[in-house]
Amino acid sequence: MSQERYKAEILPIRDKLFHIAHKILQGDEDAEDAVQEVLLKLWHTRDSLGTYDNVAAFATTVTKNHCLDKLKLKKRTESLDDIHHQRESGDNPYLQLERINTEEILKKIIELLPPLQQTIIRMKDVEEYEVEEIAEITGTKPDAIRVNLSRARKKVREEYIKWTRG
Amino acid sequence: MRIKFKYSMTFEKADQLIERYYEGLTSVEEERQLQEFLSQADLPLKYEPEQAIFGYFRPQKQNVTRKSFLRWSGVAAALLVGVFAIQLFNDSNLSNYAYVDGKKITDMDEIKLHAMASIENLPTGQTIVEENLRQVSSKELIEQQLNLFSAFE
Repeated sequence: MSQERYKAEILPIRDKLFHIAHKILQGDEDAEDAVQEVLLKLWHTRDSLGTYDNVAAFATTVTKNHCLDKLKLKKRTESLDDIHHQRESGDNPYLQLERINTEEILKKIIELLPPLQQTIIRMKDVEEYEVEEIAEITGTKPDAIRVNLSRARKKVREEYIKWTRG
Repeated sequence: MRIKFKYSMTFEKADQLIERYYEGLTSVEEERQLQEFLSQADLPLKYEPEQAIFGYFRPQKQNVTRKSFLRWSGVAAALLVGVFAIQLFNDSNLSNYAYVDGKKITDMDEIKLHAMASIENLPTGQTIVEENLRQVSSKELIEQQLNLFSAFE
């Protein structure tokens, strides 16, 4: 699927996808995050989207499944703070990590970021998208992307310092 | 003479970019500059977290190919700006000038005026021929011809 088709066929159903997400996840913020996550997922797999007869229906299904997964995950996600708590108690699988290398630590820190922040930081810092481009793909304002990007980067720094000097 | 800095940018500039980086305000290009700065050896210890973070992302960048909405329009815009910049550069730096009576003139209009004036003073090919023809009067021509004929008699 070309960029033009993505823009023409996916972005117009954004409101519909938000509605689905909102029904499952309830909160405005969670629903908005979920929709952005789904849109970025669809963007990254747009090459294979052309094979679906009804892209809108496919996007709807992806959104529904994604939100249901999020709901399940929400119930058993351990936050970074929990991990630190474990760390202090001495019984934690990441203790060895510190001795391995900074790469492993950073990989873990990024994996533990909220999914949307993870995707955005990857797109900006690895795939080298500009904030404006990510905003266009997700149908949001650049400022909204910046907020998540900023949170992700600050969190990575903060956690890195904790892990290496804490 | 070129001033050589020890680092690829000043610490002040780097600190500014790092601050903007954490606010999500830096462009891809600015982050590349920052990456260059942070990849240098012997940086002060305070840059250690950023060195680690940028060092972590760097090798991953090479494995990623991406297409984007704005990239090509961006390239096109850059080219266009480049073309204009070249024209501007030409206009401003390679300006035309002429020497009139040993005096340098850079004003285009004045140069044109002087150039036109000097062209008008130049005899063209046609006027030269006409002038010569006028000088050789028809009477003389006939006499010359007659003399030639008489010589054969």
